[in-house]
Amino acid sequence: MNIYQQLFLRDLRVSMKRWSDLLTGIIMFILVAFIFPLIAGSDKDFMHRIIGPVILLSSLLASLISMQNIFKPDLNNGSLEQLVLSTHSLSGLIFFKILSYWVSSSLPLVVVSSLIASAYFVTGIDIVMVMLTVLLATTTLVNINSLAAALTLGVRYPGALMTLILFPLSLPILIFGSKAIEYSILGMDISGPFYFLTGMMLLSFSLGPIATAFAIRISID
Amino acid sequence: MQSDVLQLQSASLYRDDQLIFSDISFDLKGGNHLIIKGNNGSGKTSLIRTLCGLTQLTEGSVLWNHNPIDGISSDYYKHLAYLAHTNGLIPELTLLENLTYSLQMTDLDKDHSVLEGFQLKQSLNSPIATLSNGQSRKTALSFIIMSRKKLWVFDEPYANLDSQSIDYLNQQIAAHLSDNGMVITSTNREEVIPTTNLEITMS
Amino acid sequence: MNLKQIYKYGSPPNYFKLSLKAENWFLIPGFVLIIIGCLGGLFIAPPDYQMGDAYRIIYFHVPSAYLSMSAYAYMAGAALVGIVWRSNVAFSVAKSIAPFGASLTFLALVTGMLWGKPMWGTAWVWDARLTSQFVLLLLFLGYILLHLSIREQRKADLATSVLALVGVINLPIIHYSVVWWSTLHQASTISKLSSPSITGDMLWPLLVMIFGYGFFFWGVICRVAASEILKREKRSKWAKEYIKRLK
Repeated sequence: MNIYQQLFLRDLRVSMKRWSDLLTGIIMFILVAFIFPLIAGSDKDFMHRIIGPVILLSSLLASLISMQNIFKPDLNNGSLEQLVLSTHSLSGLIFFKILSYWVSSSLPLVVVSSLIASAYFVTGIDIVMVMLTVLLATTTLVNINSLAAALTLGVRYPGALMTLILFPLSLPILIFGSKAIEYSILGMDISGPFYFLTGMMLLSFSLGPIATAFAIRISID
Repeated sequence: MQSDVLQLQSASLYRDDQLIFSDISFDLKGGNHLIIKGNNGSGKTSLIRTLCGLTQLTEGSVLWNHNPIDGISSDYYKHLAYLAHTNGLIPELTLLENLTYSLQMTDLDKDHSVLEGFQLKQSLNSPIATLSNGQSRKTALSFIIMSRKKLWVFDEPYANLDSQSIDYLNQQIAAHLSDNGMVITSTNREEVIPTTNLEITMS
Repeated sequence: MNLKQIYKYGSPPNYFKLSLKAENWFLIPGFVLIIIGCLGGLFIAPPDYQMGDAYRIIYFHVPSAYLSMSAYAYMAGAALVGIVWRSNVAFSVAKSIAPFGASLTFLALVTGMLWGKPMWGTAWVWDARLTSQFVLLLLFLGYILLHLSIREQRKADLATSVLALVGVINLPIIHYSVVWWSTLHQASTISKLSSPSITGDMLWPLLVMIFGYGFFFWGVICRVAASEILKREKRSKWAKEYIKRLK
């Protein structure tokens, strides 16, 4: 088992032990998606119009609320430093760390989004499209989150800062993600938004870990 | 390698405008033990962190076998094992899990006799969070010893240790040094550490 | 100009002396151009057949908007130089640009809203330009806030530079996402900015203002960056001598 697999599995194990942190994100996701129809009206056409933005917004807020869990615990117990001191490429290690975090924090959201989609009167293949959108969008969001978390590691109360950094960078994903869902429900051609989401996923997973690793080195100094 | 050497050359560290330490130099060869003494807040940890490459020096350089440690051709981190104030262990995992998933060692290195020496054998399946401070410190120390890296860097290793463990640690250090290993230890205690070769006092 | 000369001006004392000398070469032309542009735009250029005199706000809006976007690019460029060459000068320039970039963006937003009121009837329109200006403002504010939040100056420099670089890579993506989104929602209205119907005698004051803003901006940055460098290098010999001479 090579070191990257080891790191991936170790982080997965740790996430399972820290399940209450994971739950925070999932609960936030569900709550935001449920609050909208409760306060804004629940007729079918309206729900179909807002499900795109709501799902993306829920993903954003869910990732925002659990952002500190990516690196803060490891900074506090010293294992982040040990990672930096490893002989292996820090970017590579961070890639697998982010991947593991995505698996534990975002895959549950993909599953839950199917339930939310049916609660929003979405049927058939469109539910799969919603799940696929969440899958793709969260890959980029998790990389943006990791970067913001790494940059603000040393800051004591990073709340406002994280939001300020997160929002502009995730705007394209929010726009195209909600359009992807909307087009799918309307029966229009979804290839544009989906190509964009896939492209952003590839871009963020290739550049994200490098930038995040650099930011970690800076913050640990 | 017989002639490995760690050199610190005219090192100074400023944080913003505050001077942490200035103009420190030493050469550390195989079989030598460097002690860094000083009171709390005198810059021991900062010095150690610069030696590990975690903190950038303002002036001066750290060289491993005459190459800068952050250079492309440097293999410094293959030989470095570092114990910080924190233990580098994941509290939610058990001792055994931390060992299994350790990124520092191959399976061959995992020599449980060190764990026995520190009386940790019975704590193998306890999460680190449930161990006492002393036990987790000893766990971290055993991981460093097991890693078989050439240069051991300890930041206040004796904190929280009982005298039996201190003796065992000193034995292991002595064994490592006679095997041509290198050790750097920082401490705020006054007592003399056996096997001292070089001493730096921070003020 | 060979590479050695560039490196020479990268050193703090040389940059400091150069910027104090160069400052007036930027400020004065900038000031003059702005005056000329204002006269041209506010008085000489004819009133628009559609909007009357209200359109004249573009003489303040367009230069602010262009300069705010290029300021972010300059800031990211300085950040890159700072990271690659570990240059205190570059970091000082980047740090100095940020508040002015943010102010320019804010100015562009306000003038855009003042323009929008007579043009479209409401102050805020969800059009592509205004929305991406708003996002740009957030990017600047994020940079400034990160600088303020990290206490140690060297760490702050490096972290904010990473943020600036990530921001500049994302900037085209954000801009085109917003443009694409706005074309879906705003089929009818075409922004006056993008229409090519501006005539020659309305155009020249605009160009003059754009250049005037640019020159003035760089003059201000000269001075602000120089004082930032002085602050950072206050322990060094040349800085102490300079301060002594001031007293």
